[in-house]
Amino acid sequence: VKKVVAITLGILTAIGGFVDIGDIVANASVGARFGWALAWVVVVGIIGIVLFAEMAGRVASVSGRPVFDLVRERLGPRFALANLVSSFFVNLLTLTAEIAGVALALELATDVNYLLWLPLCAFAVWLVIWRVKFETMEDVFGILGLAMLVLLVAVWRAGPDWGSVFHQASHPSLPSGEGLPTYFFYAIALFGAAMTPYEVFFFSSGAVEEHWTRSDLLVNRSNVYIGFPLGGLLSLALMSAAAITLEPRHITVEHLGQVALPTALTLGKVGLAVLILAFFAATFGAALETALSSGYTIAQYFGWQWGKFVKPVEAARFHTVVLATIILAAIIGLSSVDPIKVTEYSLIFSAAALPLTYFPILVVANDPRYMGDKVNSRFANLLGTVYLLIVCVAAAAAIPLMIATKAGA
Amino acid sequence: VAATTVAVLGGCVGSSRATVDYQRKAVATTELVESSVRTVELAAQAAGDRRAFGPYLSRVVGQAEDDATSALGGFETVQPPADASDDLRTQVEQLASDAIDVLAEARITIRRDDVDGLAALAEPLRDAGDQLEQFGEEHKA
Repeated sequence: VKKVVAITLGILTAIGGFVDIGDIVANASVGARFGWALAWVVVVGIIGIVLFAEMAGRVASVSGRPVFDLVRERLGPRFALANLVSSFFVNLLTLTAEIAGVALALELATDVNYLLWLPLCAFAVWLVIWRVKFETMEDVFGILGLAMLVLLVAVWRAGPDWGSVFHQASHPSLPSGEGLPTYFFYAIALFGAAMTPYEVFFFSSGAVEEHWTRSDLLVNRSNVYIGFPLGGLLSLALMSAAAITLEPRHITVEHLGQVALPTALTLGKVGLAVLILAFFAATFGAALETALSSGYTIAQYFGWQWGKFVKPVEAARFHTVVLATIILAAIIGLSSVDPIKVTEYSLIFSAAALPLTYFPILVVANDPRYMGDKVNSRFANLLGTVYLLIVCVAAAAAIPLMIATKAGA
Repeated sequence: VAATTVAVLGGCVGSSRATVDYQRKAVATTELVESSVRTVELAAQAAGDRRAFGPYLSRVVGQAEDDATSALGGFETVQPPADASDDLRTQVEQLASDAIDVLAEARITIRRDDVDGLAALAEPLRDAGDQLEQFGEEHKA
């Protein structure tokens, strides 16, 4: 049990990163529209986030300081400010969508409009951050998020022709009526979803919250190598369930309820209830992550005391930023803006901001002043450089493709 | 003369393009309505097999009806570019309205907790979906 609990930070981070409200709808939407033709993007995303999250966790374990703190010191306040502004903007959009996502999960269970749930959900997110210990929070939501495993059971029970699935995934082709720009728009959205900046900020700050040291490098690797691929697997399961049940019926995924239909049809009421619980846990966990990440990045940039490892009164400015961000996100959510659209846009803006996040991590993880003998290996640097190129291409293409395809319409 | 020729030809091309665009919008509208209809068809199937609970079904059906209504409303605001497009408009309106009627019936039924009634609508929903699909295939530009 201790070993399972030791990797809950990775599981919580990965579930937030791979199966938050945006990913849930985006993966199902892609599966219903392109089948398995974009499954390769999830695999590329998993390798990328594993690579950089391991670096971020290692930096935090060895230096005892989170990545964002070191970025400002190593690359200067201007670069860090650009990073801060872009990541905070993406965080705010994502937090808006996650709080709405929690409300949407409750709406599915109760048939009460999500706008009525939204203020209560925002309050609950703040209350958990204010009152619950970091370890308890990550254990509860990391383990509850594992309810998403019901998706794997649903896909297995649906019994697809695995040979055909593997062939479609390994030989991606455009479905009739779809253009290449739309295909690449969704590819970038999925890639942006897998590599969302808040994941590494949350993960490295979480490592500091848990007082990781050099002796925890194995725990770091276990978190990264188990948690993130698990998140990616769930992401593929969402895509597969939609590809099996919704694609043949020409269903376009616009709502959370449609995502749950394949599971209801294969596993019945119990499976449906578990999946709605999983939606609730995953989006709540992601809301905690994004709200905390907003506080982490701002407090670390300005050098304030931060974190849940100290009493709230000792980190008053950090907690004020978290509270203000939650209130702002709730106000945006209550303006009745479509939460699914908000999160789809946040994925694209996230892709556009990726180089500002991942370039500094690579720099810091190679600096012996912080890392001593734990700097990156040659292989990690080679792979990291290749990924930086991919990230730059995705960032450059993200917004033009969004405009050209009318956000994949 | 050259300017007049260009203007006249441009006008012809514009009109032709507008007709094709209108046809694309008509097909896109029927595809959106079909998506809603097929969603509710699956919900009806789940209801018949007792595989989903009432509040969930009510929400799925309600959202599908809203989406279909919104898709038709959006299409109706588009000006048909020529007399020949009027027939297309009438066909889309007829097909989509019929489908929305079935969706509304499904919504009323499930909000009265009539799970069997929703399950019984699976066949009319399938018929409506098939007609919309057929229209899309016949008119794809």
